[in-house]
Amino acid sequence: MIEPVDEDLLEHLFLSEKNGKQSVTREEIANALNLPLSELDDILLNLAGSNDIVLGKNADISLTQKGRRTGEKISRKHSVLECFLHEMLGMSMDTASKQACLIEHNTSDETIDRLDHYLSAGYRWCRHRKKSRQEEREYPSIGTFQEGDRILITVMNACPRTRRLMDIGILPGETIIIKRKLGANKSIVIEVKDIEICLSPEIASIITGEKVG
Amino acid sequence: MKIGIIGNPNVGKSLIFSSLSGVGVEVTNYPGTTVGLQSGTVCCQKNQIELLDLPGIYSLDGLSDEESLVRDVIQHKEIDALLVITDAAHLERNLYLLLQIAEYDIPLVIVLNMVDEAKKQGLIIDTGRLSHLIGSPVIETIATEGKNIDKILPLTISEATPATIPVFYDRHIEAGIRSLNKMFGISKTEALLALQGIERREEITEASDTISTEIENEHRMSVSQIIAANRHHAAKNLASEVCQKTKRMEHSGIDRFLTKTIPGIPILLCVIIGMLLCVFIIGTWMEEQIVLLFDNLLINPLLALHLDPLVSEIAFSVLIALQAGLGIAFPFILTFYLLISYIEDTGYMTRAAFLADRTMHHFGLHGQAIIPMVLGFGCNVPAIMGIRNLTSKRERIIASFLITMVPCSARTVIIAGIVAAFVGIAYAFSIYLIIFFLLILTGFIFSRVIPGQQLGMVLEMPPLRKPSLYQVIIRSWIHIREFLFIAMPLLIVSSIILGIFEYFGILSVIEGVFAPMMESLLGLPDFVLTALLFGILRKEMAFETLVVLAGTADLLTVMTKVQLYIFAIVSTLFVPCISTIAVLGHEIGWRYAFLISGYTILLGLATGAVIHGINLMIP
Repeated sequence: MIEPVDEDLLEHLFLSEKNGKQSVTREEIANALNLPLSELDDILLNLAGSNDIVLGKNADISLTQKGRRTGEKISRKHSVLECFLHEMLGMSMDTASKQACLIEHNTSDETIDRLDHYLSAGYRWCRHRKKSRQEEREYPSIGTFQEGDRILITVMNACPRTRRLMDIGILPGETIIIKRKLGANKSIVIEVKDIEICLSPEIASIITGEKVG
Repeated sequence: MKIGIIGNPNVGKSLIFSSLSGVGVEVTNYPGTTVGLQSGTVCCQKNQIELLDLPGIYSLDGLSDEESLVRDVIQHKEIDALLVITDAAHLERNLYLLLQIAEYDIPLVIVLNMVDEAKKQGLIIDTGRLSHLIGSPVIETIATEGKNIDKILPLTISEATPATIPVFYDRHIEAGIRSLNKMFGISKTEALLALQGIERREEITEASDTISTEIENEHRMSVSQIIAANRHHAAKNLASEVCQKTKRMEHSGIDRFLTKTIPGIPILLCVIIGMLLCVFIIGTWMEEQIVLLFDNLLINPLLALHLDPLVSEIAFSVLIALQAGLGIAFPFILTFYLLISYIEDTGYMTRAAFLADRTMHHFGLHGQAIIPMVLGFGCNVPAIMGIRNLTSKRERIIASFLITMVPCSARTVIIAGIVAAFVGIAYAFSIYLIIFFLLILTGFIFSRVIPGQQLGMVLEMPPLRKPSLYQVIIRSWIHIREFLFIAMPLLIVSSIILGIFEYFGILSVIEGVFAPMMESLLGLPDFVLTALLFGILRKEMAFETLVVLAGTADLLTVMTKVQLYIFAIVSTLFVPCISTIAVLGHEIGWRYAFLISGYTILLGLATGAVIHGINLMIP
């Protein structure tokens, strides 16, 4: 189990990395997180042990791939929460940031996703949001997945058949299964609500999704 | 009392309808559409009940012809009660439509069909609870075994009640409904349609558009998407409340084969060729018998009577029209529909459509079009009737052009009887090659010229099922009857006109007018024109008439090989037969029927002229 303070540290490393610093020293971290050096060393050893960071020869510290992911996630949580508290609830930027620092450790990914989605509807201009919007990834079309994959539909572009697709249950947020995909024939068969539906390639191309467990 | 039967496609709706109404079924076109509605009258508990089989739909808010039609019927309360047929094995998806129907204040009875299939899949449905939650009576049936079917109508008469279950929409949508209601006094269902921009009165447009735009900005989702998502959500909740799943369902193993390239495509080819051979062999054999029967029992005795020449001519025309109609209708359409209905009911068609989708794209069509196209080889008439399953008007038009060019069995008779017999087998094949080339070219060009875009195929693949033979026979019978009603009057009228023309010598006048053109353009003798005209009644009559006019079965004594070849190709391409034109007019409108006829005349004459030209150039 990763402690809040570990998360804060990874978040800090992630942000400095994003600002162009490849590695940071112990002192800088201790300063930023407001921790005594002695306590910091334990945490650093711990994180190095769990393969989240790499401790360099000159006592400089950098993130591993795994640590970077965690840091990024926490940083996103922070900015979504901060945006919500500041823009929607009208807290001052400072308090919002401090509060976000506390809440971010106990919030599930789903809560953040939903909050993010909710915010993106009305408060598009929030400066924090703008940043993370660029980080949002492009989802591939469902035609690119393999047979047997379970896909969560993320976006559906408009086409003359969208109405029919919606009526048979193909909607963003719905999970489908790729049942059949042919090499030469780009049409696919998907399963939605226990029913198999076959789609032309041009229809499959407007539906994007991500693979789920 | 008028009762409508409504439900998703593939839920056994038609089977329930035909079990309830028996054979007394009538097919009528709903005013202003080409969607056929089946209706039947039955007596139950001394009440006369009119049953209306509404087309299978997924949603009342859809945009297809079928969906608009059903919406129209329901909005105008043209029925006193609705039977909502649902598939117990896929309850959740069926509840989506049910929840929409529930919003209209119409007495309902919910028929939970295929409970045997649900049981097989380990689904237990609490019918009492379902009925309680929806607010209308629910009855479990197994239509294929006839279980509980007899209880449906008595229950409808005594207990049908409007549903009370509401769908809770997103608060913005609800607010929009309230505003529209306050401003214009429209109902919830009308407001929902207006917000989605589907159907509305002019004065509402501006207000509903403003509200929709606002909601869309807020949610970054279209209003239709939000509403659909809310309904699916409600359906899911309702289904989870009444269904209990005891085991995971497994799909049948055969299905895995049918949709794979190998052996799916070889199987598809076998099915198509097998069907074609069946229609061709059985059809030709039956046609011969019918034609012979007519000749021996009616036509020859009539000629032997030596009536007044005009009366005799007219009676003769009527008889050959009947002969042409029955010679086509029974043999080909019967065999075709028996086979096609059987295969359709197994659910194999959708697999075929899936496999063929890519190829058909090159012609601006989708996978569904493969079946009618191929069946055109047997007879164009049922093939044209089969284009109803295509989703857009554009596809139906392209498919009609292509199908009328497909050499049907009657044209095969011409090619075989004239070219293969007198010119050579290789030449007969060359005619097929020319036709296929023109057909592919036409499809290729038309798919780029005809306006409108390719919509793409969204097709449900129902599980494979064993069809009910009774259902197959009933359906085939309905189709044949329909054909007879459409084509017979036209066949008789045109046959009489041709007969009168011949009697008064008008034909020879026409021949005289067109003879120079026939001669210079195609290099054919003048009497050939009459043969071509008679070919319009029934294609192979072009061949028969030619033999009669030539006065000899050895055609080489009156025409050269090149002339025979040109005659065969012109009469093969040139104008579909009257029955096909009649069905075309019925399915896609007379304007297109004439356009297609005109196109094929031009194509036939042009091809003939080109061959004649090439022949002249070769010394």
